[in-house]
Amino acid sequence: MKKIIVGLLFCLPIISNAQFKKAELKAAGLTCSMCSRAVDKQLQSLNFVDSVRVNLEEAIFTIYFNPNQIVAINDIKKKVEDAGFSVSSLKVFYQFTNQKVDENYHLNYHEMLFHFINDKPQILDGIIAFQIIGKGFLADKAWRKLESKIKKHIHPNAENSTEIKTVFHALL
Amino acid sequence: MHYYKRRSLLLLITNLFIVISGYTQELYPSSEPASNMSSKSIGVRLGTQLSQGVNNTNLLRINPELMWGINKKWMLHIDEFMGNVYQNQFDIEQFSIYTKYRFLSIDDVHSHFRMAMFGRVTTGYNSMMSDTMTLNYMSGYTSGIVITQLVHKVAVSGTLSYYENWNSTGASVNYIASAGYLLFPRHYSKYKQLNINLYFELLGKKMMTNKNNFVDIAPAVQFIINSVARIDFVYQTKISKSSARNYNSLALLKLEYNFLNAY
Repeated sequence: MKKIIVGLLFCLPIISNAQFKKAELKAAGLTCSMCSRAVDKQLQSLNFVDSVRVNLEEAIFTIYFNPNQIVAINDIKKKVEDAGFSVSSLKVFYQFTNQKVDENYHLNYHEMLFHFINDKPQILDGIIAFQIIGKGFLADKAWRKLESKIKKHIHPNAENSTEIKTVFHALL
Repeated sequence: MHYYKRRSLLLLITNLFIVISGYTQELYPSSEPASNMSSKSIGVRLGTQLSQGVNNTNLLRINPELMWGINKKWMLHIDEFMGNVYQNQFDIEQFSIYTKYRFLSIDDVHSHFRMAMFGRVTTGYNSMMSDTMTLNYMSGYTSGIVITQLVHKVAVSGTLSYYENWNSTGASVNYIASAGYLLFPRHYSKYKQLNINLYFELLGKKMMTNKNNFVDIAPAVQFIINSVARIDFVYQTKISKSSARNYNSLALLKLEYNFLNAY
């Protein structure tokens, strides 16, 4: 029991560090400031979102997350779709600590698993941005081009794990 | 000959719109786009329509409307019409329920294509088949399809619908072509910026009973305030020769306010 508690204590700084800080979302199909405002309001209704800043001209939303709240990546996509639009790119900023990212590495985050599809292994330290690659996270045409390539990257063990509910592909 | 001249003029107007549109809007004042309002949002609208009757009487029509974005695909409007267009005294004319379902949405970075189907049921004191160009607003039911295409910020919309009145004595095929142009601002920077949009819509109706064809144009200017409120000024006038109209042109003022994520 003691060992477990000590072990947990050691884990604490890592857990509080291991989180998404912010995201940069580009929306597709927006034609007016009313549409952007609808997306903005939808994003702000998420409990893990602290604030949203918008570049109206480019339809880019910078989403700042509440610290110590679980960031549900799929909910971000859902909210943009609820406003009547879709995501053409979603970049998330995550706190890494000297992490080697190669083809065997998966980022495991609260029932979500991120599988990196980069060819070259990298060491990541600090707040690093990666893009979510998948249906609904890219414009339709861009996803269709990538779809066949991505399927090769699916990790069989990750998909079958009972603890993992969602598998995302990520690109550094 | 006249037909071809008119057709060339329409083509010219349509092409001009496509060429000059740097940014386009699809918040059409005289029709609905295939896009839906944001989920869990409530909107309120008040339309005031002024026209001069054929016997020089002033006709007024007030149209309050409640709009609800049920989810990303479904929306519902409930509205009421009061006026003296179909009777001599100012009174309630009809109630109507409109629903739209967006069944196709293909989004890309610089383009989107959307399709929706809609239905409107109108009930009230007026069930006569009027040839007046108040499309879809007569007592009866309307069902139709709307297609909106945006390519590089040029958005055009087409609506095709079928109307029939309750006692099946009158029916029409309605068609609308819409285009919009963002006049101001040239660059978006904040939500509080006043937006000024220009619209051009072509409203047509083919009567199934007497085969008469009615075509109106409806240019409009629209102001968007704080990205939640809308003021539309529409002037609608006939371009086709016709008889049996309650009025030949109308002026319409529409006020709208949207409560985004209202609940």
